[in-house]
Amino acid sequence: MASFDTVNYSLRPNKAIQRQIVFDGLELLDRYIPLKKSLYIGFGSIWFTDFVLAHRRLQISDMISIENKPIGALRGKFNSPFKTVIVEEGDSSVVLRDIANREKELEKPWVVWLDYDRGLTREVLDDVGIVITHAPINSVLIVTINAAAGSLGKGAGGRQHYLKNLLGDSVDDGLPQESFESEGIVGVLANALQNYLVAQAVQLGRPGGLVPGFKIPYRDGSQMLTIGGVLPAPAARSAVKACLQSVEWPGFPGVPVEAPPLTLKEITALQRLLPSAKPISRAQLRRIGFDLEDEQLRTYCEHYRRYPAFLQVVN
Amino acid sequence: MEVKKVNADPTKAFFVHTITRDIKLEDCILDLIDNSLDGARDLLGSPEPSLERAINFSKYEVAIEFSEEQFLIRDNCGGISLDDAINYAFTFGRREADDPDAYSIGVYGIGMKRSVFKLGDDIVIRSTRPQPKKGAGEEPFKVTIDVPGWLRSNVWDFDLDSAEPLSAPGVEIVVKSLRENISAEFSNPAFENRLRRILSRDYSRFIEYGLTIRVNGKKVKAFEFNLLISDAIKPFHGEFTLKGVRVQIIAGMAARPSDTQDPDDEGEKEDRSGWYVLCNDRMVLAADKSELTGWGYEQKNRWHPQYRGFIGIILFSAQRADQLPLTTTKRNIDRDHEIYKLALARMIELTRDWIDYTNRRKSALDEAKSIERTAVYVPAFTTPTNKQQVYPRLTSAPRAQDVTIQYSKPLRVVRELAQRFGEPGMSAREVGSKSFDYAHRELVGGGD
Ligand SMILES: Nc1ncnc2c1ncn2[C@@H]1O[C@H](COP(=O)(O)OP(=O)(O)OP(=O)(O)O)[C@@H](O)[C@H]1O
Ligand SMILES: [Mg+2]
Repeated sequence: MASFDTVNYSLRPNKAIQRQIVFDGLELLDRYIPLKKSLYIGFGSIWFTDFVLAHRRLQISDMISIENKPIGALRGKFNSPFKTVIVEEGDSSVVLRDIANREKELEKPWVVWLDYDRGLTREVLDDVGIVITHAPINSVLIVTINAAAGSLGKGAGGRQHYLKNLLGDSVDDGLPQESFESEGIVGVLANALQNYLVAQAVQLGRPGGLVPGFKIPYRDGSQMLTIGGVLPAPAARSAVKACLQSVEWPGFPGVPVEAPPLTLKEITALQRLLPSAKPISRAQLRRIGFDLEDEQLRTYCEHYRRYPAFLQVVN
Repeated sequence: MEVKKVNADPTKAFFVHTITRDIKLEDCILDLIDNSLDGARDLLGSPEPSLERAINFSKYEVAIEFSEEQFLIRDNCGGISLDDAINYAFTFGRREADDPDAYSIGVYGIGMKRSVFKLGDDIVIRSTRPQPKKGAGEEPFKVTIDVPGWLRSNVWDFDLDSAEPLSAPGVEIVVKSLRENISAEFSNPAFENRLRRILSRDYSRFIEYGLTIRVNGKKVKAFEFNLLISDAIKPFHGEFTLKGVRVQIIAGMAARPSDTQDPDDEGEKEDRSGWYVLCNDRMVLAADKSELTGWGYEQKNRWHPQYRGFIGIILFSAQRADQLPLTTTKRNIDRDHEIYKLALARMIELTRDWIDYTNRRKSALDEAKSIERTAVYVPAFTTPTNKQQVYPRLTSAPRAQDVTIQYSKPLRVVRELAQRFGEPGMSAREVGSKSFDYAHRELVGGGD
């Protein structure tokens, strides 16, 4: 779960952008199904970035951070940002099941963000199954996994086989094997995993089903993927669907979140050109005195409002 | 056209509440497609299904569209005649006097009604007949069923009204006010994928005959049945006829048996091995590994992963569909049926040949693999008539001095190791063997 040993959180612009997208979405959703009184469940690690945002932006106060190693748990407790954050030690599947067994946690909706840094495995799906089975109505489920091609097996054939075995009919049989080459695999994985969440909700008999709300591939050193949705009360389903399918809904970014790391100076200069009706050209950049790849420039302009403005833990 | 009454006989509640529970959603959709195909076969002059002769279905198309809100199926297979509509099509259950059309799939007279009732509350069935060359054709009509209203009333009949013609002679069924569980499935992309897979498999004969089936706009491809053939490997292909039912059987090797013998190992989730049973070209059982097709019959030869790779196909064709060993859902076999019993004895023999081969193969694996490698795939339905299944004759002695190592480790740890070996889908057996090779290389050095 914890990646604090390998990565310095403050230098991860795309992780931050992705997080902003999720919380922008949750804030919008909050107007339809109030989230303030919900229980936030996540992997807070020692940074608790998402926990801080959940509290600041959604005013969620009840929060549980799952930590599977004793030292991590101790450091988590030490670094816990608010009085109401509880660190629970144990494997996510055990802790999630534990939470589901406590009556009082079932009285309010959950906002669960399973922010793994490992790839898709049966264990990830088991956790997802626990949440979809037990989460009270109007809960939100978000899953982040490593989506590097290698984590799904060797070669297109190997990956197709692996995904088909894990996700079954959620993988489109009509896809040619080329779709499972490393270039296209994130898209295939994203669709299949999203289908899987919907299918699980149907199969586990959730009356309101699951309405997909997040599909965010992003690059954070490795290729990552965030998928998620809402488990609405049947009566709230159509309102939630309207919200998640509206044009303002940020959860399905059209441009992958792959912004380049930029210096403060570059950010300031770029920001002064935005917003702009016309796409910013590289010629414009060169006139200011620097340059970026086409793709980098395009992603920055798409996501600039969420690009971390200062290099700090919470952005 | 004046409003006519359609005759619908006994037990409303029975059908709506009981019968709809005995059938799966996907099988309901299949029931509606079966009706379209019966219509098309009728228009073609009721040709006999047969492996030797292709029937030309290329003019016909069945389109299925569904969403959270509604279900639609539309075909261009000739529609329902007014006479049939009034006297038969909307009746629950076939009357003694009604003979099924030649080589049809429909036989019981409940499929369509059961299906639409299963789907939802607001049903409109429209039909348009082909225009005859001269003289007046039949007027297009529609039957509207408001299920809650119909359940409340004492009458059994449905209203039949005249309607705008469809764009091509055929039937269109639209169901709205879907039941909650149905609507949930229709919004589930995995359901759509599953349905597409089922259709591709169960109507593979028809799709190969040229039929077009579309699901939400996308064409369904035919599932391909291929068998291996070489000098040393020959599939069985034979037939017999009894009391008007023709039985054709094909059986052979579709893939190399899997190397893992461990049933705990995650094998193919979608294992194609087993028996496929077709009645009048429509698949009834697929990849069956149960007693119904002889596996474990009388406690013998229960299915085991060792037997993977075998495919058997058996086709029953009869002019009168009521002579076929079909159950009403078209998803099961009536195993007490005389013809089926006879067929089953043959199926068990054929399965036995394969089981014997996989046993012999175990002690001469390398030889078997090298012989198998020379075989090529051919479409199963085109294999030549052959009375005897042939599998490689194996001569080599068992490899000397091997020992099997077996140990248990936590699944999670095994998975982690598999991921480190660069192949998360690797079987536990392979992880074990790779770990051994790794340790051997590190500590002893050199090859094995
Ligand atoms: N798409 C269609 N095209 C032509 N005729 C149709 C169509 N759908 C239904 N019919 C007519 O309606 C009749 C009733 O269909 P239904 O499925 O209820 O019973 P069946 O097909 O006779 O028997 P079974 O219960 O075994 O399916 C059919 O026999 C056929 O005459
Ligand atoms: Mg029928």
